[in-house]
Amino acid sequence: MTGGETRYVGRPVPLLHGEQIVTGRRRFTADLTLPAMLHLAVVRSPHAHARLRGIDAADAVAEAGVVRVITGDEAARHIPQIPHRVDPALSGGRHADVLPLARTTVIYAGQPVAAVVAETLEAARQAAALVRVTYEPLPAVLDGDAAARPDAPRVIAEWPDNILHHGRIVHGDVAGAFASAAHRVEATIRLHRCSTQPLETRAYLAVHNAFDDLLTLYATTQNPHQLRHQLAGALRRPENRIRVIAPPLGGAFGLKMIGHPEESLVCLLAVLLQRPVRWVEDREECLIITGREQTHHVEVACRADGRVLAFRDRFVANVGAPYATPGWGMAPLTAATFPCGYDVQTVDIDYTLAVTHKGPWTASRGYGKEASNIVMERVMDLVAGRVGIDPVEVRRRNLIAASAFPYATATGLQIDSGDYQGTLAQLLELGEYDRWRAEQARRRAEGRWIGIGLACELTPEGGSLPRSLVAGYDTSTVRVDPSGEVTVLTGVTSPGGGNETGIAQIVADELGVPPWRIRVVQGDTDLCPYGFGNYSGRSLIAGGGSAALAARDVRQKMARVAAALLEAPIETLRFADGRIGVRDDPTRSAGFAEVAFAVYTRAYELAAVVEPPLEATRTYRPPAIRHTPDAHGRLNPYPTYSNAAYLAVAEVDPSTAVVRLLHFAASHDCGEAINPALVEGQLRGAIAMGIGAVLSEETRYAPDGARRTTSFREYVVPRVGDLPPIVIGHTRTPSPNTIFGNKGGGEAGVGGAAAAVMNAVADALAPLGVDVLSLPLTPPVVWRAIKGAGR
Amino acid sequence: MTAPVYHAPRSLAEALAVLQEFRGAGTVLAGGQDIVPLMNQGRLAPTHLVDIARLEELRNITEDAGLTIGALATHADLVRHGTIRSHLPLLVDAVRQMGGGLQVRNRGTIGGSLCAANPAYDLPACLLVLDAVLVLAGAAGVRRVSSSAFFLGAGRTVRRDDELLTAIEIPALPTGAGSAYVKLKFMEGGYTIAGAACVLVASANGTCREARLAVSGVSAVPRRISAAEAVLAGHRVTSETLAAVSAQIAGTITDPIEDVMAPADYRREMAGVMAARAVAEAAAR
Amino acid sequence: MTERIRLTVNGLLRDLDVDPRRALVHVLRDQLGLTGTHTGCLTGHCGACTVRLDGRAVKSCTVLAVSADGARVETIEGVLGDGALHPLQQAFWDRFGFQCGFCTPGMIMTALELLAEQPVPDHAAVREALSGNLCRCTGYHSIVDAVLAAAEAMQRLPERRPPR
Repeated sequence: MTGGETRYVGRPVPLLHGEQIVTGRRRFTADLTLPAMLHLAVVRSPHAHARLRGIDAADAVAEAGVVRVITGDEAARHIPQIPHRVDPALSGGRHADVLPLARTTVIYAGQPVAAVVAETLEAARQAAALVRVTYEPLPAVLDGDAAARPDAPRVIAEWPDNILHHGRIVHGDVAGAFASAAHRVEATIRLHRCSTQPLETRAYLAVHNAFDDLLTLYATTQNPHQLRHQLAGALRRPENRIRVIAPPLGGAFGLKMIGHPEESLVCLLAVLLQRPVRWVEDREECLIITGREQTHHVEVACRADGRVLAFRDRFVANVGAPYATPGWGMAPLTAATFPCGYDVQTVDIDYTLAVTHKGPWTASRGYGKEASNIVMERVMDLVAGRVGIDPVEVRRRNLIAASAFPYATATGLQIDSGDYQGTLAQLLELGEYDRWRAEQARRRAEGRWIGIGLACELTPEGGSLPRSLVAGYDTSTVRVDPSGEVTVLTGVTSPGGGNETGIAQIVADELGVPPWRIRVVQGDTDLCPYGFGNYSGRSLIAGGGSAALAARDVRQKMARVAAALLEAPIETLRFADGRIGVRDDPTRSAGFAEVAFAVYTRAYELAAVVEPPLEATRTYRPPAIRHTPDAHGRLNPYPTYSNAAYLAVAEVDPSTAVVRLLHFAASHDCGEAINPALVEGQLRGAIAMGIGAVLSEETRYAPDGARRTTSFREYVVPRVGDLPPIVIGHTRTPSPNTIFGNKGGGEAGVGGAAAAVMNAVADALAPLGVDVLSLPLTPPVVWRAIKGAGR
Repeated sequence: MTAPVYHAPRSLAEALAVLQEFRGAGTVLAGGQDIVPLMNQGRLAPTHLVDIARLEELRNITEDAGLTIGALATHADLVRHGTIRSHLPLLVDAVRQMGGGLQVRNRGTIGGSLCAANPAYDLPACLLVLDAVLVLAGAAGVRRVSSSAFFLGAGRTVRRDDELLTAIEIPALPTGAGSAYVKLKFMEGGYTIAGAACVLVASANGTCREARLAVSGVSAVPRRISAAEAVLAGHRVTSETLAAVSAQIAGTITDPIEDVMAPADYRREMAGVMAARAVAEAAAR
Repeated sequence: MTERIRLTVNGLLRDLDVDPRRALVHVLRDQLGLTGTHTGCLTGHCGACTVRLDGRAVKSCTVLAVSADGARVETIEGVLGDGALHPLQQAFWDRFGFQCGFCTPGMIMTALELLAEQPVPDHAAVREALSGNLCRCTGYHSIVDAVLAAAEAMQRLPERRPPR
């Protein structure tokens, strides 16, 4: 039998639910209401570190419309702790109990200390303001490097120090490489605290059906099944008596992974009060959550020609207060992603995760891998500068050669495929590198400060963690009704990037029906097969892959019945345009619906050859993921790796130190793209985030730890006028490890764009002798650096 | 925050009567661009909201000897007005460089902008260099206050809580005057870090007969910088005079704002940079 | 204590009792069930709550519902014509002018005002008009594209509805 024809995969099919979106009918979590619904408001600590001396809720309770006020002691009786999404203790780190409401001590500004439930949101907020909390403020530990010192004041009293986790990856003869090197390049590179801040904030709506003892939570979550598992642990209720439904998300970028205190708090109150309870996060609350602040002490040994021999890094990640989301997991992956796409087999990477009283980390787009790329790309430029060669040349000399794939990195990653030189070459042409260098010379002669920054980027995709519910596989069911309608139920979810359209395209090609006739169901733990949601660009790898396998099984069933119906050999059949027919014989065909109906109704004669009903559930487990250690004790958590290259041209205003981007180009290789328009759209969004991360976004604190970033006034994200024209090209080296050769998308762009902009600013200021090693590069920071260089 | 009592007076007299009756407890609401976000955040809890948006008579822009702008004229009204576009381009500059897009222009009023006295707002400095006079109406009658005396501090003006700002009177500029407002903000969504408003009147020989320069965003209140104006008066606008202007400005700002967006020393220097740019632009016009 | 207000919402007269603290966006969403208008910040920065009030684009989180008494309000739900998508809606869909779609209603409502004022805007005018609207997914490129494509499509169409 012939396979499905490719009509939709690889094409820019518009998003299937587009009509819903443009008419305002897309229902996000905060749009949902239930009868008798109550509203939750959270009382939060203004202090970063304080003892909780007492809570007086008398005035709050007395407010009209208030139904309940709950504090830490009562909450702890029901929820002893929130299970960690990935407990650091399971991989040699330390465990801290995370409670939904603080009991004796507050460890970050914004930490929930009480919650008010009322008939209206206004009443809840009004009452929340009346809850009198007595705090005894304590000094706050804010600096990660300082917190990592053995004598530092402790964030968690029970711990001997502030180290959440520590690890080290060593491979090759590091000392020997440094001893024999012509050059040793050293730098301390600082990355700052950011937050991905999707436009839709979090929201949770819980309802308990006492008759069936079923708790349902509608949640802005990337991982509904794992949220269900976590709630079962937190609420001590059976997992199969909890249903989590993830409505469409308004962006996620890691912030909506699980482990937030409000998730279980809303559920608890819905059970206690026997009425639905809804909480909608406001922006000030959303900005409590952060990511990414770390300091890298990097040393690179290289030859006189710029060929890097060894990479050494010692970094401290300031993960903020201990929290139950998997934010902390980013730092070990930063370590594992070094040295990115460069052929350097000798490494010594030492990483320390320090807890402080800053806002907790949650996953941030890139999940640590973007940080590796930023640091690595800055380092490569420093190497180029030291040995006196062009930044392009230093990369050419060090990138992994196309012939070297599959390539085992020093940290154990197995990079499946790529043509890094080709991507770089396309970028240079697309981005008109030579023309811009000439332009730079011309403008420099006029006294202008203009710089060109390059960055290569490696993005491991489809990640998994051993012995955890962070898996690399996923499962889909494809079902055809007796009337021939197709439904796909899948364990992957969408953060808003459109993967349900990609999945529909895949199934459409397998079954020969148009994608807009296919209903894709995601995010409901009662309806969908067990899955892992969205993260790490996995949805079309594992979700698309499993949907393809399930669709093929369904097609096979239908083909067998159609063969009987048409009295034709099965290998002559073709599925196209809603019909199943004999290739090259238009007189012999049957309708898709007709064959579907036959499967259901002729099970004892014509269709006896197949097992009804007409559905199949299949799992795709991408190969190449390695959870058993190799000879060096290393794992490979990713099945596939995308890559890209970026070019930024920046001009620094000598008077104001404002950085203006004049030009930006990218060349991106994600293997085969199921829907090129969706891939490119996500890349553009990621580039914008990377630019914002360098030029303006920053989460800040006062010296006592109080929050100073509480609205979009302080957390400045890019708007339409902040972005230069961005030229994008694609190269394509398919992955041998996924069904369609697709490598995943969604994270690529953040780290590479940030790195390119950082390098561009450094290049612009190089003639002044200014070192650019810290982010962000806001005008006051750049201004001070220029002053410091004596100009 | 308990629910406020909401008043929607139909006339200026009625509005003033309400403010008088609830003296000290009335919050004036016009476009709401300043007040409503604060209420949403729980940072402002008015007991009496006096909504003056229906006082259509306060929205007019009339031309007399100069120009009288009603306090409820929106930023969009300013940008659309022919005489403002041709004769007072600094006001157009200020509006076009505001953040917030079309929506804020449609809703935000000049009166609201002035009475909020937010150091980061742009129109106050423009009014200073226009020698604008603010008309305040109260139970005791109408009084006029020069714009330079109107602002007392961040969020504080001389308006008494039983008064309403009803109009801004702008004397006609001499012929041959050029004006500009130039500001620094970070990214499109940023608030003003430092801004400068300038009016220059040229003599026949190309020197400045008159120079007016005010700075915004740097101090708690916008200020005319007479020392910098003195540098320009009687001189041509050249790179030397511009440098002198910058230096004067930076020297005069003794209390620059330090906040999460920018440190004090940066702001001080940027005030000088923006001033020089505003002068250059005004000269070109 | 509530205030009684009257709004004309998408052409329909509605009498409502509203808390005077309540912003228009909450009345639209929670009292009228018009959840197409979204909240992203409640401080007037993000533009996701943009509606048209008496024909002008405003951020409905910055407008108290009581202030809007007597006004004509148009939300995204009112943009759909007689069964056919408005050219702006069609263009956003065709040109991938959204990913998650959360900012889209606000973008469309703002773009409607732009195109009413400037039927043939250039790139810079579109960028200026949308400067009050945040998007975190797309990087804005396809949004600007969609608005320009819609402008072009509207130029080609005969007058389909009375001017707003």
